Amino acid sequence: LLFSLFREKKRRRVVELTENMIVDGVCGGSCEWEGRWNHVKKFLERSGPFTHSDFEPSAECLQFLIDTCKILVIGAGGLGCELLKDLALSGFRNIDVVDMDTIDVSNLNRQFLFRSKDVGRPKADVAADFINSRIPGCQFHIIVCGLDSIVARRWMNGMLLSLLVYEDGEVDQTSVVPLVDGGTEGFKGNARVILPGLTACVDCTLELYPPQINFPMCTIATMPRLPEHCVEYVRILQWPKEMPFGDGVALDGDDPEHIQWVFQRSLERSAEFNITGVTYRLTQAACATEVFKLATSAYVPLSNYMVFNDVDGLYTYTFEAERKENCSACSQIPQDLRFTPSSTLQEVLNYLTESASLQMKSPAVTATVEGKSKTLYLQSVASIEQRTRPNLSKSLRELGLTDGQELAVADVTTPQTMLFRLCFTS
Amino acid sequence: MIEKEDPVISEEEAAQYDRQIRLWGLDAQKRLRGSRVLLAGVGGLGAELAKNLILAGVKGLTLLDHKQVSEESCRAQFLIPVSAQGQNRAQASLERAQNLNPMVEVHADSDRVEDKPDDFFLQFDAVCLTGCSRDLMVRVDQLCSQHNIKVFCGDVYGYYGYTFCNLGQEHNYVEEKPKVVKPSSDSSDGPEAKKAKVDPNETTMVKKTASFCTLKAALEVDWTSEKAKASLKRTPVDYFLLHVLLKFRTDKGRDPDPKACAEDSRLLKQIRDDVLEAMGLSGDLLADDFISYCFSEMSPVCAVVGGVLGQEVVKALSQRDAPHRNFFFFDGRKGNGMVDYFGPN
Repeated sequence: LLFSLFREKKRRRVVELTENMIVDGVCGGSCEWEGRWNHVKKFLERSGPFTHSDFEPSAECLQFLIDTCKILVIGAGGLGCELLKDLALSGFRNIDVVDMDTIDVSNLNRQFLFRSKDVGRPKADVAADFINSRIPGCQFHIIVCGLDSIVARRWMNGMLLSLLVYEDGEVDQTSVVPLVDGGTEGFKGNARVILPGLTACVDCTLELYPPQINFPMCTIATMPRLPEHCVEYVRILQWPKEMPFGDGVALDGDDPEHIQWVFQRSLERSAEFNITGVTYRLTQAACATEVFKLATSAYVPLSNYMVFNDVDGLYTYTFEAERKENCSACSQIPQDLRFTPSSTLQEVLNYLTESASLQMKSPAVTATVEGKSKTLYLQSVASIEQRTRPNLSKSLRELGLTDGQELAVADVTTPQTMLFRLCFTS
Repeated sequence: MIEKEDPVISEEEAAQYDRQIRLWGLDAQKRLRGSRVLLAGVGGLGAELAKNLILAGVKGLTLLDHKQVSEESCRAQFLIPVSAQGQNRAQASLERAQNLNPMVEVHADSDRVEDKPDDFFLQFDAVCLTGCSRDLMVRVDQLCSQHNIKVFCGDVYGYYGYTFCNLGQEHNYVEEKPKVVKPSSDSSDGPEAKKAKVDPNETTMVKKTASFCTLKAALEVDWTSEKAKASLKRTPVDYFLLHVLLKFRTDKGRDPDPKACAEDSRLLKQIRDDVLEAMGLSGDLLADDFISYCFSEMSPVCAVVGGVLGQEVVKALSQRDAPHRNFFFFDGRKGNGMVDYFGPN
């Protein structure tokens, strides 16, 4: 096992516990039988060569695959622990693990590789650029994700797509790194297999996720009407300004003290505007980023999307997710933005966040205007946000944008800047 | 059943079990905390089930297994250290199992489950049988259900797995249902406000009852009747596969072994023919291809089946949420799981 970005305590504990648990010696003859690896063969013996520099796929060489296959497991939480166990028991020997968290006592009911003496500080910051440096091209054969946010998944998905090599419009299969992605929430979970560039990617099925409700910034900042607007104001604007629990300490939706602070401030805000309905529960819901998880399973070979619902007795439902023809992440088809010249920038942003197929979080838009690169709006840096906020209510024409011009959009949901073409409609 | 409950949950427990208490509530956690469970068979599936119940926080778990640790068993499950060859399987699993949660009383027992007297089983609130013969399971199931003890059976054969439960003729439980609030007439806040909102603040506990049959009745369904024949189309073949594998276990005293692949494959085919014929059914019902996929215990399949079975035990002991009635079949080749009822109507 190789570790990356682990807190020392957690790292030491995982090494201690898993060193002995890792299967010593591969199954060898005693566990081989006809048909055992058929599912793996299905992936490996595809049309066209799927040869990697270190191995040749064939029935005889599957043993070799187990010996040399390098797997990256992302996330060592509830699902991650289960994954590590199952991968190790299945005979994989080269496993890298990445985690961006620290252990909390509330993790101990399901993240069984950590025990009481491992409890560290509350959650650390997510280090997305660390993953960036950890996935240099073809170093890994398979990536397995047990992440706890949609945004992180999309980011991972985008990363692997950016590694693809295209020749004459066809994807070079040696540049494909399969992604096995799983997630759980309460009693429910899903698992899927993604071959970037070949099968449906995360964004192809983005519309399956329930749409998130995003409120326009001007409403939140100056004209709130709903209790939700008040909570969002505190969460998005007040927290970063006041940093109530220390510099750089992010809002933790599972920390009751954080929620209490947001709740109190939200009450104050709502009182200012005579809005009723701000409750602790509402605050909690708005702040929740991680919901409790009960991990129950690891990978099973499937094609290619499995939903597991333990609530109503409907067990599993496996279906083949289809690639979306004009997927914003993997289709390579440039996306158009159709607006009238008198539409405001806010309307464009609303589209980027509310569209079921894009579901961006806080897009930053830049454009080349009169030969110069101009930031039209950026939310994540307070000073720039304030400076560019007036642009939100300006029309696209007023901002100097022209028909057919390119808009570059950056967002936490994609590692690469997305290019859109602005098409003026009448 | 669970009579004495310590009404107070400690701070340590509240903190450790927080994430699951949010799911199933404090009452459920308290009931779990008062439950003693027997687990027979600490193979791949048994280890998963042990992990899940220990992490869930039952009062006590007894690991019962007479087998010795073999080369295979070290690789089949994660509780047995590599250095433990020659030891008893339950004993070898004890340390790591206990380590998972010091708040649970974990015991190891190296006796044969067949040799245990009746009153041994009566000290438990739930009995889980893995790797056991059909006759043993039928006997224990009969005994336990007469004394209001919840019975669970489960096995993994290669890519296939099943669970069975008998929670008695009258199993009472509750379901928490949210109250639905009618939408307001003011529609100025957009489409979301128009929908009927489910208010998470207001939920009601609905009391329900489910009735279960014995394992014997579940396995001895008569397929010769016209009604039964008509329902065959909707019947998962996994049910018949289970009969074949249980018969193999009874006849050979073990499960299909990769080391005896050719011979065991022949025998499985023969048993398939015999079993279906005895039921008055066609051999075509269960195609040959199952044979190469039912050897050994595949670890991800153990994880899935162990997860389901673990949750069934939790639900039954906490008397919360609808139990699966009465079989769950998992096909690891397709990634399909199915809940179905077999037994007298």
